[in-house]
Amino acid sequence: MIGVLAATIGIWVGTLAGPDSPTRETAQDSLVASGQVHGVANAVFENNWRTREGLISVLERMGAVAALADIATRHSKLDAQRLAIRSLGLVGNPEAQVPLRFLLKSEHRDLVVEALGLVGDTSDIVRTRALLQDERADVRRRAALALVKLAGEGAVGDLVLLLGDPHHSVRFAVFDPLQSYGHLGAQAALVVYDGLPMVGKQLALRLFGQLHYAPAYGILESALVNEPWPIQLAAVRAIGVGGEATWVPILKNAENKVSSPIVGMAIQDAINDCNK
Amino acid sequence: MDKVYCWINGVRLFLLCCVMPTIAFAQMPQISIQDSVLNTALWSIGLTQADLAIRGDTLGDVDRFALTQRVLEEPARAMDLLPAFDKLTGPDLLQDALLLLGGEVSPEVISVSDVDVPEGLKALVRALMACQKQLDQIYVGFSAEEQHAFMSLIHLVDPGVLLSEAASDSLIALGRRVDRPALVLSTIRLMEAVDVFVALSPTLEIGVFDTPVGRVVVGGDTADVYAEPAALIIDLGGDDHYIYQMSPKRVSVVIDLGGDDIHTGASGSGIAGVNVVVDVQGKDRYFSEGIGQGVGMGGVGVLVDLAGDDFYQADVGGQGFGLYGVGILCDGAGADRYEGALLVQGVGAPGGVGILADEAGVDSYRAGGKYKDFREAGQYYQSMAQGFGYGVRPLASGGIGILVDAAGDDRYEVDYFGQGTGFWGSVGVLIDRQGKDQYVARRYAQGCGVHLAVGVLVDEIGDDVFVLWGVGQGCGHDLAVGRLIDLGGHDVYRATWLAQGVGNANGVGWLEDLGGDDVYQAEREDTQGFGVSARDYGSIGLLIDREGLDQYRLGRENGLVRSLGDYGVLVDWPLIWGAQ
Repeated sequence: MIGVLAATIGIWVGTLAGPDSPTRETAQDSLVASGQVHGVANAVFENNWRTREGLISVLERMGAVAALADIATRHSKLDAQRLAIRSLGLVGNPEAQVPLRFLLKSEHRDLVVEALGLVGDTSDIVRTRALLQDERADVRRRAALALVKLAGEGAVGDLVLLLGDPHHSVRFAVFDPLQSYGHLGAQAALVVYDGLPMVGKQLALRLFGQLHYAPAYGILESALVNEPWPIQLAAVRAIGVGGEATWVPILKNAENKVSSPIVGMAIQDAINDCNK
Repeated sequence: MDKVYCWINGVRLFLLCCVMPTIAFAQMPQISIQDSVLNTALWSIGLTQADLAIRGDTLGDVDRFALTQRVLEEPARAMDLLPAFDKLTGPDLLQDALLLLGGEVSPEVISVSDVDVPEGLKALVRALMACQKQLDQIYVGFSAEEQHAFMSLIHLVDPGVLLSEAASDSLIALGRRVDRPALVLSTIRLMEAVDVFVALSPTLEIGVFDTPVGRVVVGGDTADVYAEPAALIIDLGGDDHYIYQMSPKRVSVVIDLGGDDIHTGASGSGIAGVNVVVDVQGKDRYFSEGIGQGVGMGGVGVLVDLAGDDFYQADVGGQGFGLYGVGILCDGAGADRYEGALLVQGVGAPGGVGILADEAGVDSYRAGGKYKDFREAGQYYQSMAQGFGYGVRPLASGGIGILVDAAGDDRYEVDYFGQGTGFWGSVGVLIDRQGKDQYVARRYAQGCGVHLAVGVLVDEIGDDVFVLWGVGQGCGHDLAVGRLIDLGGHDVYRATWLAQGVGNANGVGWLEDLGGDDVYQAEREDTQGFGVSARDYGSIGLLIDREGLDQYRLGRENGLVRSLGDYGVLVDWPLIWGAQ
């Protein structure tokens, strides 16, 4: 009986090497239904990357935390290790926390922190926050997004700091959560605005505009004339998004003062938007 | 716990202004190059040059070249980081390859004993002996069986061969053991001796000589057939036929001084050794059913054809192809035709540098026709050619593939993958210096990086036409960089989708035209300075036209900075603006 089952698993595994297809999906469904965690896990160590990818997905659907942890820590191939870590998060089982925390100082810490965010235990908040200072942008980005999952609006103070991150992947990743927090996000951005670098100020201004955040209107108006042209441009666009007619005289006044033709053209567009 | 965290967080908000300068904001980005137009483009969408760095690449392996990593870090400096390729001779191109390999090699004086051959041959035979001596040291750790296995390296990249991952791992491990910089240095010395011999063209008598390095054959000016391997063949003229075997051989040189010759088989192919072929003149034809025409597989292969209208036809792996080795095809004057099935015309596979350099003439480059790509219902072929870097996903990053054409109105044709394209941790570069050139491709071409790779197409002078269906003309897909740079001329760019300065799946794509009245034709919105926002944080797409009256998809928009999404920008730069 065991031999027959192993042979059947072998046939299904054999179909996983090719591109996505209905046959491949059926094989994965069958492997999940077989419940043969041990056999599938062994096959991950014996097959090529495409097959491994399919098998790890099967283990994820089986909720096989121990098997995935074993792959994450023992497999010789980086792709297998990383896929297993990602799957540990997607399983969402608290049992996954132990192996994930063990891996938190590894080179895969970007995916580990993301997985911890998916598991969703708030006791991991402190560990996650520590990675916001990581030297690698991908780690900082995934840590920020994990923090959003773990702490929700409580993460706002950390997220606004990342608006000034040196890499856009981090800055833009935190923009959407901040926007989703509404005025709470804008308020936090307003507090840190003066200390933000140019790229951070640009994003903060966009946030104020998209949220129609009135307490920041003074900053928007000041930025129109007192800041370097990229920040002027961001302010103009933020005002254009708001589309409020009260801005028209302020924009016209600024139009006479700005020297950049790029900003000048943007002001024309913004005036048109506000007059609609 | 989360409530406590909220409270701490609230307090932190009030303290932020005081502590901010000492924390994250202190990390100001470094300017990569001085370029006010580029900075204007980036600043207008809230980015800096530091943002062009590809982040999130965690699959680096020992095959990843330093150049690949550096260009991924600083895409703006792509051209500064490449060799100049200003001299297209065998020794100079080998020097460029050495630079790309990045290895440290200490030149070593090799002493060889005198040899009993005619005076005109002495220097060359002694150079061969010195090279052989060095190669013996380089391959000392390889068994005869392992050296024979180098012939199987091509299976790593040939879609017609299905390898298990264990077999692939085994071949990759074998290739990684080869000391490629030392090999190239040995070949440079040999090439220099070959060049001196060709320049002096000493008077020689026909004959066959046995030497410590093997048989030396001097042929006359009749039509000869050379089917037996020899350490050195020198043919003085006549329409000859050379038949090259694909086998590991330590060192061999063929010099043909005249006639319209036919070279069949693995010409200029170094497999666990060094092979050099120099054809000085004549309308020559080269045919390879396997690898050939400048191939290095665990070795170095150089094919130099100095003059004549030549025809090159290869199968899989040829015409400047390196796989854990260096392969160079160098053609001088003449209108040449290059045809091949796959992985041809300047291709760097894992651990390899492949260079095709053509000095002059109206040339035609074509690749494909053997293996169909699975996309688009299999209507089109894979080409993987014309300045292409190829990695074995996910086992080994690719190498560096270069095609340089210095002059002439040339035509380049591929289907899928080519014309300055890198796939999986590799670099692919096509440089065309002069002429009214035509580039035709279907997909993944014309300055395109795919999966952690770099693709660059540079066209310097001439009114050029670039035609592509999609994914290229300055497109970076999946943590990759793609650049198309045209330095001058009235150019036409035609594409349908995901092209002309487009980033996709966290990539950076960049089309830059420095002069002329250009026409940019495209159908879909995801073109002409567009960053696709999908996948977490989006991608960066730049289209920068620095001069001329130009036409775009949305009309004639000169003096324009137009943002497309969060991460895309089209900049048409009128001179009257000056620097911002």
